[in-house]
Amino acid sequence: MDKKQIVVALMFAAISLAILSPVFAQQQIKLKTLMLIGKGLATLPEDPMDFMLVKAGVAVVNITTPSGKVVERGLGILVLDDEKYSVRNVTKDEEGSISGNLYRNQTKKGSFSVSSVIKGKTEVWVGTLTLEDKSYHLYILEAPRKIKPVELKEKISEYCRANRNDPNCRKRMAEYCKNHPDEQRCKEIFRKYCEKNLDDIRCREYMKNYCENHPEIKNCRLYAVRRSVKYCKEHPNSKICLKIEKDMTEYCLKNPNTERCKIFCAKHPNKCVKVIKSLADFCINNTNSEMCVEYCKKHPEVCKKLTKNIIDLCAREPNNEKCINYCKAHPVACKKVTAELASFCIGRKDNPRCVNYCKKYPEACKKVVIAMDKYCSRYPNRRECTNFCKRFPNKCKLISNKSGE
Amino acid sequence: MGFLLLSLIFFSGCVTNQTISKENTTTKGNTTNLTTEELENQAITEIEKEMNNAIENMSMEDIENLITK
Repeated sequence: MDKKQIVVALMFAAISLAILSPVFAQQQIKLKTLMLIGKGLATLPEDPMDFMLVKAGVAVVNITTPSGKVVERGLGILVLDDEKYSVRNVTKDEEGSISGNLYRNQTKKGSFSVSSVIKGKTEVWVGTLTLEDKSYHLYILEAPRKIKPVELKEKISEYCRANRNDPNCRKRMAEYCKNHPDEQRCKEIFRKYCEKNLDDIRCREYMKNYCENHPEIKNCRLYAVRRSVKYCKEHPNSKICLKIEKDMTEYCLKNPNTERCKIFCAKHPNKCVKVIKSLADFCINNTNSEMCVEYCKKHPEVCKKLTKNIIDLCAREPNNEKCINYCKAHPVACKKVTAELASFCIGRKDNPRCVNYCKKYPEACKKVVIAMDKYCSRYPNRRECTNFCKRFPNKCKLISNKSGE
Repeated sequence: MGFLLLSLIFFSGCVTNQTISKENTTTKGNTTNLTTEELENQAITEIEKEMNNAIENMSMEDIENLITK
């Protein structure tokens, strides 16, 4: 064999290797979603002192069958005291609940069903366990489980395949994020991935930490709501659900047009009939209102309706002499703060996230509550009124009083 | 050409061996293809490992926090 033949043979070998390498790497089992991992207790309702220690792990698994077909299965394990049961036929729903059957030596021994509820920073799964004709109350505290770099690579790759236009998804991003998991772009991609994959414990762990630092972000404000839907449907009067409902009401007062609030307000119209504004924004349109007379005397420039040119100027140059007072009262218009944070902080000057902001912009944090019907009679074309006026056309026809609101 | 053919046979052999070695890790130690049920059992073992690792990281502090809050 001459040199040329050797070169050709080596090239052929390299090409074969490249083609066949995916087969080498093919995994037969892949834990796609870690739905629930934690430990807790199962107690007998008739005698709560009769209890079992519980350890639970439930996941969605992709299994590559011998024929090469990939099947998805909901599987897991439940350890009750020292007895292990395999969990099969797992089902989940979008409202934060999981159920499955328990097997031991291929024989069905029972079943369980749990719903999640957020308590502070901890997610708790509560529900029932049936085992050999006995029914237990089941409580499982979720364990912390952070994403590992090699898993991050997979998730980034999955997200970027589905969102090719996302500016953070560049070439070889998945590999890059595996090596730099704390890089801002990688965190941002993973956050976006997680917003749609909260049934994975790794995403919940990430979002809990993220939301601790960003409580004003919409998805953070609704995190507890999203993770407790089923539980709160079944236990609406529990302390935690009343608190969640209060948070939801407050969110919907400020954001009546979001999809979730449209549903919430349709169910509870009496809870969504007000709109909350900051004092500074309110007084621009209501200089004669009782609340604004003093304020506008003190800050005449802040109460003036600025022309579009000046507003544009202030957005570009918030430190311009003409804008300093205006920007102090209207930090969103001047792009000094995000609209989300500003909205979150109205009426929340003591919240840790708002303390500094509200010290700097006190008038932007003061809350004014306006009846939606009066407000929308005056401004039927405003975004927050379109939905309201559709639902309550008669309430939008009220003639506003002298003060306007 | 004979060499090329040999290379192909060699690499095909590698693939087959790889699959067998994976299957050898199962509880039954079977060298034929695994059934879906066996794969499911393997998956449950993986989940158990994940569970034990994560639970080890649960400190008493987490539980205390929950109770006190």
